[in-house]
Amino acid sequence: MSDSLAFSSLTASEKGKLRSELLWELSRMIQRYNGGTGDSIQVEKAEAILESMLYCVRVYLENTPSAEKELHTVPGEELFRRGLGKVENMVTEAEILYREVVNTRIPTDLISYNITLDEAIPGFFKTYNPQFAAHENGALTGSLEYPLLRNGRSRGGILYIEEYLEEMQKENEFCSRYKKNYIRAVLLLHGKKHGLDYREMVVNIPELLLEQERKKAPGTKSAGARQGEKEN
Amino acid sequence: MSRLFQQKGEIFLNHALSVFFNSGYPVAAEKDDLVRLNSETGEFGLSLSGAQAVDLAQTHRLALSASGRIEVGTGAVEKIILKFSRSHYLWQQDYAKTLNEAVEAFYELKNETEDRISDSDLIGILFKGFEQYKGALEPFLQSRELDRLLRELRFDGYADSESDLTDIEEEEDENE
Repeated sequence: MSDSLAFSSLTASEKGKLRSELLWELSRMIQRYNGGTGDSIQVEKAEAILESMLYCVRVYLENTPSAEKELHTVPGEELFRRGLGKVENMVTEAEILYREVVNTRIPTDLISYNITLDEAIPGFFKTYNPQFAAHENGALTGSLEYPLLRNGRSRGGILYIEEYLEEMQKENEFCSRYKKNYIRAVLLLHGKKHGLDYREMVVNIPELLLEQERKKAPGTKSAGARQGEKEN
Repeated sequence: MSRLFQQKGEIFLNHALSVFFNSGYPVAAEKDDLVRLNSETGEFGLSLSGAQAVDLAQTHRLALSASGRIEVGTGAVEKIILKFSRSHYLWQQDYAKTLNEAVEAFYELKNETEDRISDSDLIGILFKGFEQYKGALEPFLQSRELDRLLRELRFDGYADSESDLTDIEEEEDENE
């Protein structure tokens, strides 16, 4: 359910009440953020905390079958708390998924793939802050990121990581059909064609594998492609 | 209006945070809070008239707005009053003016110190500076000591800076 759909069903007075409840909760969150050492905060930081709170509410509503009803009956601060709980649970689930992704990793020297898996994603889990920055991508922001075939970037925070790991798991599974040396040969060939060290390329491995299949047998799956596949 | 409120659609439209927080508490109510403190500051011969308390409440709002900050909870003004009223150099004729200066300086310094220092500690630094300059805040705000303190706070954290201020104070005492 999108924000606009969910919120548009509220009456003007319900919207005012929800806004007020969330802003009072924000004031409590600001005091928690300051750790009791101050009563004021820069507006930009307060806005970021509010954005994080709204992200949690959105995650909760998106995952609740009775979202429409709850929006009318559950106080704003409770919606936020339930959302924060949901986000925290999603982090735990994503950590489990991450371990599965690592266990099925593609055997490759591609630096962007390995750095994303071994450094950027663990960095996300280390720095992700659901309480005050649930919508942000933590350490993942700005780091080298392996491009996925389907890379949905529209949602930040844990939603982004969850989607990224799910896609990566599918791609790992797809690549597990191919031998390590075949994957290396396809990457090497691509690098040679563009005058690059294949290990430093920022490319998607399944995309190159699919491209290779298409080249070998336009329209059908070729015997050549099957040569690269593992024997059962 | 912030980008956030436009993006999040109708639920927060037209309700900037600073309006909600900084104007949510009426000036008249803050005036009453400040005048109420006269019962504590009176023992030092210091008090605010109703008009002076209104001025200070307005200075408080302007200082928050100028520094791009919002405030929750009781706020720093009452803490500033209670601290400064203990000064050896503050007299009734300068009381309101000094409090206005201290409130403006406080929020400016909160930004300059990048929130690395608590409200109470920052008020403590302002107070020490005020005492060091014998009841004049402006020279302290322009001083190299404060510059150095701010620089160190940005790079090294507060603990060292607090001791540095004490050192400066001691040096000054020795020079007298």
